Amino acid sequence: MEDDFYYDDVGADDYGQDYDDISYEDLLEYINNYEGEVTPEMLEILESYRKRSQQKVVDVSRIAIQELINNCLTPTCVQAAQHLLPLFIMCVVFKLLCYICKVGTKDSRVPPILVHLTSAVFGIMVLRSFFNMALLYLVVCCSLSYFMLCFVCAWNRKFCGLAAAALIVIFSISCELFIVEPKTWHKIRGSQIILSMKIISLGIDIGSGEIPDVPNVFEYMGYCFNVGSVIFGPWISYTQYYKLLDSQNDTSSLFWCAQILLTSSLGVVCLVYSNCLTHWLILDNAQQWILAYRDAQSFRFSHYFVSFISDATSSLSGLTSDSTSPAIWNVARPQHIEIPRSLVEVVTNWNLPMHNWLKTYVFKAVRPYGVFLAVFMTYVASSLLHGLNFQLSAVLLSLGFYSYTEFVFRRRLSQIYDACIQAKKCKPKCDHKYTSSHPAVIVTNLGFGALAMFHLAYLGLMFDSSDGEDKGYTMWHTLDKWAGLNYLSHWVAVGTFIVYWVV
Amino acid sequence: MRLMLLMCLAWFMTLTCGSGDKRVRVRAPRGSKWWSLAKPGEVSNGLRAPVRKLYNNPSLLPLTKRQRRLVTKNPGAVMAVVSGARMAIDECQHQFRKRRWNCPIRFEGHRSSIFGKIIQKGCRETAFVYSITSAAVAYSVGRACSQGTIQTCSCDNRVHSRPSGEDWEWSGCSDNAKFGHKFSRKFVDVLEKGRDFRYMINLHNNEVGRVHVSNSLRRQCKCHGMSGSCTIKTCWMTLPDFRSIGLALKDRFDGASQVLPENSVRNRGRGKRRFNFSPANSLHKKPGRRDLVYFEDSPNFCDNDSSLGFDGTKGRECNHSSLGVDGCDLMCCGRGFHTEHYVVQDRCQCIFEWCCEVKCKMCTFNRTRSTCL
Repeated sequence: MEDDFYYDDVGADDYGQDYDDISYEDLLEYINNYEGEVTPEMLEILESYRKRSQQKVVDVSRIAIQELINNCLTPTCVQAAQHLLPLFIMCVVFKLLCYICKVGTKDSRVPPILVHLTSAVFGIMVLRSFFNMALLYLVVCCSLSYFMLCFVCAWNRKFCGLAAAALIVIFSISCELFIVEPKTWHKIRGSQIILSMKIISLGIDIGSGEIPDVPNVFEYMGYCFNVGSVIFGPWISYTQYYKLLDSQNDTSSLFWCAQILLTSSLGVVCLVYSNCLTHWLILDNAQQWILAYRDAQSFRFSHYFVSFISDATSSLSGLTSDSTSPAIWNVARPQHIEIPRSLVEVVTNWNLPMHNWLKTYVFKAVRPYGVFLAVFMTYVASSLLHGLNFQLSAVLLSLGFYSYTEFVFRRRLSQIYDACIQAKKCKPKCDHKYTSSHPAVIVTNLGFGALAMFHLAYLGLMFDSSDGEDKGYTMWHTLDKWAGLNYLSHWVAVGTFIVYWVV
Repeated sequence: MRLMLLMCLAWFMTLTCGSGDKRVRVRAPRGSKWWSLAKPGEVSNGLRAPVRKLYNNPSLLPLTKRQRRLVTKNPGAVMAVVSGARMAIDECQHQFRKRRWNCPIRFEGHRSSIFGKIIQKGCRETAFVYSITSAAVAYSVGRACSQGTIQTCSCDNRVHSRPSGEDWEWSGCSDNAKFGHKFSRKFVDVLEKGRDFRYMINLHNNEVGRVHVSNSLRRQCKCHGMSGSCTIKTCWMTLPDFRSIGLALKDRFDGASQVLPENSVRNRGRGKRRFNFSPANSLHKKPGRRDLVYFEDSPNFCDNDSSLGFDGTKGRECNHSSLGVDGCDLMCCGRGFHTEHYVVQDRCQCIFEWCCEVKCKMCTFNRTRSTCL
């Protein structure tokens, strides 16, 4: 029977290459060795062969919308659902358990330990489903820190935060450089960042006396592996987590459901946009800067997806945020990033919990020693959190420099012209001569916004899901990409800074 | 000197081929009759009938027993085969619209092939026809698979019970291409067997078409996670339209390699469809599995040739100003051409008026048309 055909054709072709490249040298050599008469026609034919081998045929036609749906939209949604459903279900179960806990009277209610335990166990189960055995690194990090916290707290309470931070930094760096293989580390890095932020904030809060005592093991584990925030974040403070137990402010559940539905569907829309639509709208043969914009935008929308999902999971598991704004915009605010007023605004709205964390635990802590140092330390802290990845560090440092330049430059301009053109929006009643509604002010702000978009396209373009993606990009990848655009954005930023200096 | 040698070789080739033709009985290969499924009106509603009745459906008469069994086993596949056959014909005619042989088809009952007797030859055109048809079946069946019109193919969107968190395998429909490929093999190659050299050539060219389809399916992935980490990875497929596959095969047609009948052996072990062809010009490299092969020089396709079933280029339109194959000199084989001037009226200078009307003027254009004598 011929039923058992071997199958090895999908994928790389082992032999039978594409047209061999005929280089110009080969051509010359061939003509020189040719014994007969070299006619113009023959040269033409040879030249045409050379040309054909030069132009790589890139398929740039836009596929039909039906095909896009079949090939990209459907699989993307299916895979997203496959990943996220277990997480969502765990969150709901956890929320129900919390609810049951609160319903009973003081005497008959479920002990709070059970809640913490469930939170931790569910969190570890979710981690298991996402990362398999790689979750052990997180568990080890978590337990080491707990011993450290207990030990240091008993010795000298003030140093709790510093010790935790030092431990986390050493652990992350040694993991990244020596212990864990790059692919695995790159996978769990997101969760590791969240965990690091949680532990460091806990340490600092204990040190400052905001949290009266070191939490017991269950509380600690419940906080670290909280099911609603362990995978995608967002970072929550220990007090925020503890509110789960005693909060009575359960909003009307219909509103709550609608909000979560809205958030998660927005997330999926962003995912689909990032995966399928960016590359469908802007084809590969577009102009270089438009391509850069497209890749950067695809990366940004992937980030919005993560932010929306983290928002959905955290509110699904019953966590409430302190902010007063609607819960959809708890983590990221795409509207301020896609149409930015300034880079400062982009940095703030990129990840609000992380921004808050940096502001509370780094910026404010270093502030007494000088503003510049504080800004610098903030960016160093954020780089360290992200690991020693060259690409991320380069982007973050560039971003720090850019936003600092922009901030001081616009402040100076605003002083000179007495207009509302600072990096941050003016307050409703400001004493500037030209307010935000003045046409020239609007035009200037739009111009600065366009400049910010340009910088964003430049900075985000190397997250382009090329081959190195699942191990983390290398230094050369970053520099190649930037060199392709002649480091233009950096020159522009330096130019801005010089102008600021002169003015 | 080298050219002389080449010409000698070519002459020798034609000689051997000619004698070969006499040996092999000229008869339409049975495996190619399914092409006539593309005949308009041939596809009755009967093809969508329940499985049991399908087998004896008169519309499936061009199919062999085995092919019939195959389409009965895979309900819905026959419609994909039909649309694949049409796709192949369209593409072939599009790619060859500017050549002397322009992929003519004729529907003359079930006895002969719709592409005419060209497929009994072993020339470049034959190679192209074989490859484009098998490619079209693989493409069309694979596509139908992903659209869910073939129930039996392994692509379905149910959640597979795999350990999630593993690196993301393409869970959706990577099997589409696989299924299409396999189906095309079973369906198209089914009667190309035997030890004949011609069959080997045909099998190879069939496979060339399919490999082009399989390789043009690209899988792309993207990581999602906090600050660029890879917490989850989603993947999707990009499949080009059939035109680009036709284009690639036409490129292969232009660079097809002529092979010698001697020493063509199957590779032992794995690979039923891997043959060791030796190129006619020993300086050329061996044909790979994406290269079309042929053993016979193409006829010049100038005049009416009943042995080919080709009408010749008489009356064909040609391009007055072109120097290429579609130019009148080459197309009409030097017989001369007839040029007529005619006037057409068409809409022009159209303006869009708010809202929503398009206003045009009627203009007269002078056009010329050249046809071969």
